[in-house]
Amino acid sequence: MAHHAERQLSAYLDRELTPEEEAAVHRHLASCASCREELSRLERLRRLLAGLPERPLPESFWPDLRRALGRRREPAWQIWLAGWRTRPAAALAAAAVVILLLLVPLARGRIDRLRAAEFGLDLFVREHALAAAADPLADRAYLALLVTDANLRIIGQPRGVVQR
Amino acid sequence: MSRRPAAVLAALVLLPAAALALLQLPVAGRQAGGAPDRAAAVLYSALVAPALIDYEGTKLISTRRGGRVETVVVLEAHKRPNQTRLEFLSPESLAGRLVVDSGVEAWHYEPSLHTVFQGPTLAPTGRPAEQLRALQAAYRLVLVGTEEVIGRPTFVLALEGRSGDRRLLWIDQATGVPLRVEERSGAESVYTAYFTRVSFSLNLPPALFRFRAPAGARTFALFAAEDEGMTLEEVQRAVGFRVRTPGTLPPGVRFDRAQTVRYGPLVAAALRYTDGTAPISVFQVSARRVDGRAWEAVGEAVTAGGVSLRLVELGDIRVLTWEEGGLRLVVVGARPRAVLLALAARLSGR
Repeated sequence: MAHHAERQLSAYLDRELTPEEEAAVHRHLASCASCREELSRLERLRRLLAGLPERPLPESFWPDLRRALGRRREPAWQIWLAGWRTRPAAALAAAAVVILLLLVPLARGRIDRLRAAEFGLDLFVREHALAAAADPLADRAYLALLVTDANLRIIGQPRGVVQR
Repeated sequence: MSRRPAAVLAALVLLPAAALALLQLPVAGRQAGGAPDRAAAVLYSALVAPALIDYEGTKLISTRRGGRVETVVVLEAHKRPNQTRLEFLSPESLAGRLVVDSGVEAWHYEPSLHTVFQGPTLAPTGRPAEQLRALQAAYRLVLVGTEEVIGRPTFVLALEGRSGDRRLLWIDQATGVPLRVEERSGAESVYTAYFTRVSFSLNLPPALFRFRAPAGARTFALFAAEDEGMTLEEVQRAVGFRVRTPGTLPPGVRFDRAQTVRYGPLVAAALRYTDGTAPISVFQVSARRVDGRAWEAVGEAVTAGGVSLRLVELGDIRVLTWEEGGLRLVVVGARPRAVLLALAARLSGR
């Protein structure tokens, strides 16, 4: 059996274990000198604590506690704000992050709209070329050329030599 | 040539047999006389060829882009029925670009950016017999004669549209593969593509048509078109504005389908019209969501129905764009300028 943790020996001492646990600890103590030593140390500590004099509470303790419990708590946001007031640099940094997070989607939306204008025609040429493949006499090599050129313009990397 | 000569021979027998069988079929729009039927048989051989034969060759594409002519050289490999591998060789800005189309989805690798794009396939759908009927309805077929292209005998077939547009195909007599294609608008050639070298096979290795992304490449999945076959009301709900439709359509053009196209903040209504084969796309997007100034800078100024438009020429594909009533409208199609302008005029003020 493994050595008992201090908490289990303490519980044994306080008779808080189940009968089965208590019997197991008892059997282990019979064969384990170090646990017996630990149990003895705990007993000494318990006796020492029991011998200490009890100090009375100050008379104002209970009235003070009741007043504190009855006082209305400040709203959470006031407590949160008070925390930032004491740390202005951190507050500024956090504000900058929030503004950036708000601006990025707006900027992206604008960029997307500009890109849509740039690739709009190419997207439609591409989609038409794909539809034109239904024509049995259409040249697939030429349609593929139209589609692949449009693919490049759609991702903003037009083929270099020929500019419309 | 092939490591399976018997299979190649079988294909060479099947193609003329299919063409001959076609002559016995009651084809809608068949014209009187023997020549149109023969033209239809030749065209049919071109429509069934992708399902019967593999090939690889060097193709040269010459087309107008933004007021100048651009010539592109590409190594093209096709594996039946609908797989394609394209390696672009020139110009310098395209060198190394790779497109692998599995028939289900397409992968585009751009070496200069070490970037991969995943997108929808460019494989055509539909059965050859239906495709032939649609082409016969949209074009007058004329078998012009025979010529040699890179030493191979071809049928020269003209497809003449109602609006003065003309497609010329040089169709390999043995395999049905078009070896040369020209698109003309009036007297002007707007697009030419031809093989400078080609070899036919029935056994190109499957691994050639499997895409493996290079290590470390970033990948973009671009599937912008949403559900096909939406009703106009569903499209309007998705885009949040009333979608314009033309009161009448130019002759030979009919409504095909409606859907939405979405990319990032942009949600557009996409209406597809067709002459039976080549689509015309009409895109509409709220002008509030885009910066109109960037659109105005492109193309040539034109007018239709009293509205100022911008016209961009991309080879045989033309793009019309304008802003009206809080909407940005874009009309795209490989159709003559007059057809697209007529459609734009019918959309304007609706």
